[in-house]
Amino acid sequence: MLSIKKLNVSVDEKEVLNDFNLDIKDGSIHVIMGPNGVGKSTLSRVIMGDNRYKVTNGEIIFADVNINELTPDVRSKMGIFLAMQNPLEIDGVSNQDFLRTAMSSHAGKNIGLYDFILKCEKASEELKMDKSLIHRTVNVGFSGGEKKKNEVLQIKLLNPKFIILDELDSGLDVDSLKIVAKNILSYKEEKKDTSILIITHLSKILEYIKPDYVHVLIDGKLVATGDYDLALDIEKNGYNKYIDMSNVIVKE
Amino acid sequence: MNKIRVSKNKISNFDNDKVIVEGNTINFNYSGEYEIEYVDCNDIFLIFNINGCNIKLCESSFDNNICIKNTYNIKKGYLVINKFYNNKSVSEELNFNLYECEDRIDYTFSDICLGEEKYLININHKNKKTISNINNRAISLKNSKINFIINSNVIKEGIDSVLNQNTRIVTLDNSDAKICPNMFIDLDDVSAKHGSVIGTFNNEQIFYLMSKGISYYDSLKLLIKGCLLSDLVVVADKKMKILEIIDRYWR
Repeated sequence: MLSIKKLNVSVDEKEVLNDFNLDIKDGSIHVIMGPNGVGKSTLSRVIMGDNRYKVTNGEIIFADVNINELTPDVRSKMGIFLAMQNPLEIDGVSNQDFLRTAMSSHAGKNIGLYDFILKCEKASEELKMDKSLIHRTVNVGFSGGEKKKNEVLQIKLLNPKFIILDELDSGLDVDSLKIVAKNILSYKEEKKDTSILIITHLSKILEYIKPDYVHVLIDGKLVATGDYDLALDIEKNGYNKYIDMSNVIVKE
Repeated sequence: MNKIRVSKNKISNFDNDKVIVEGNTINFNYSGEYEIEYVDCNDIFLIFNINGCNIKLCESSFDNNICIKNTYNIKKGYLVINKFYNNKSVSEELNFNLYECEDRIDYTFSDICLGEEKYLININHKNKKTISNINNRAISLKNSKINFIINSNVIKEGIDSVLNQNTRIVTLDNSDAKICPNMFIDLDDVSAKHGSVIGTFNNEQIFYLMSKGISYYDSLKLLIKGCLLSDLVVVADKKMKILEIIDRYWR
């Protein structure tokens, strides 16, 4: 599904990912954990093609295609989806207009209003979303939980193959987190080949979405890989051990 | 909605006994909604008198080289104007006179600027508790020039008046834009605020839209539609026409 090889990324001439490697197979769930400011969100934006970040070396292969030079819209249409940590407020643009344009773009044809309403109503019901959110301005005046649900609604409408969940649990209360996680799992159950990359610094979300692999990211490098037990170890003992590990790697 | 057509600088015959047209003066004495379209106009001078009623005007002008000087006299009334322009060039002076206590003007203007456009808007609060809300939204295209001067004037009698000015110009490609928001207030007990923004669209917003599969141009088009149409209240066929114009420029 996704393979990142020897990736170096800089922003404002500062290196933020360094010799980064990651392989994600079809249908697997990976987690990248790390303390604040180690490059987790950077990674998600680089995969999505944010041009503020400069790939200075290495390649990102998605579905056997090198996507280094592709724009975010093309990457999205290939099946990559980024649920952002802080979904942006877009003043003046209605959620309905935005969602329908995105769906039409993915389908390569204009999605009829009736089709759109049917799909939207079903998805928002499953997410227990207030139906009025569809008619409001994109994310403006939404609570943290509503913003995250709006991202998951997009997953259900755009049918991605690879989903990046960047700090999905931030801004979500326990009940909303359960609903959101349930919807993501049922999506994955329906589309078994879907891969998920969860980016988080807390392991709370992993109680609901069990990962196959857990990686620890420190200073732009993966310093440890394991299974769910690794996340539990971090929950119990924190990141200090891995920060020390990173210093050893740097010295070497 | 009743349509008042201003063609070749003159008000066309208008059959409505609730509105009295005398030369270049239009007198409204009863509440109602009216659409005003300027067709083949280059030099317009109109006076609107709103006497003891609530009037909604939907004004539009397309493809004109237009020079306008309009005066809106509000006496015991409430005037709402929603206006859209897409012209070759514009030189416009608007005067809003709020004569009586609690008179009000809500003015919402959206524009796609192609050439050189100058707007002078004077709002004169001549009595207490008068309210003015002036909202301008413009997209200025390559090599265009747009200039807003907005003067809100409150004399001593205008105690407890409310003044709002809000102007946003989105500059695309190498365009020239200027806003001068002025508030001349001759007393303390007034609520006044203004916001003036000139700039391009936020790159983060474009990245967000593109990351959902929307192309750069479609993202831009969504933001332009949002900027021009979100506050503008127009009838369905006018909205369709505006959307067609947006589609024409950002295909």
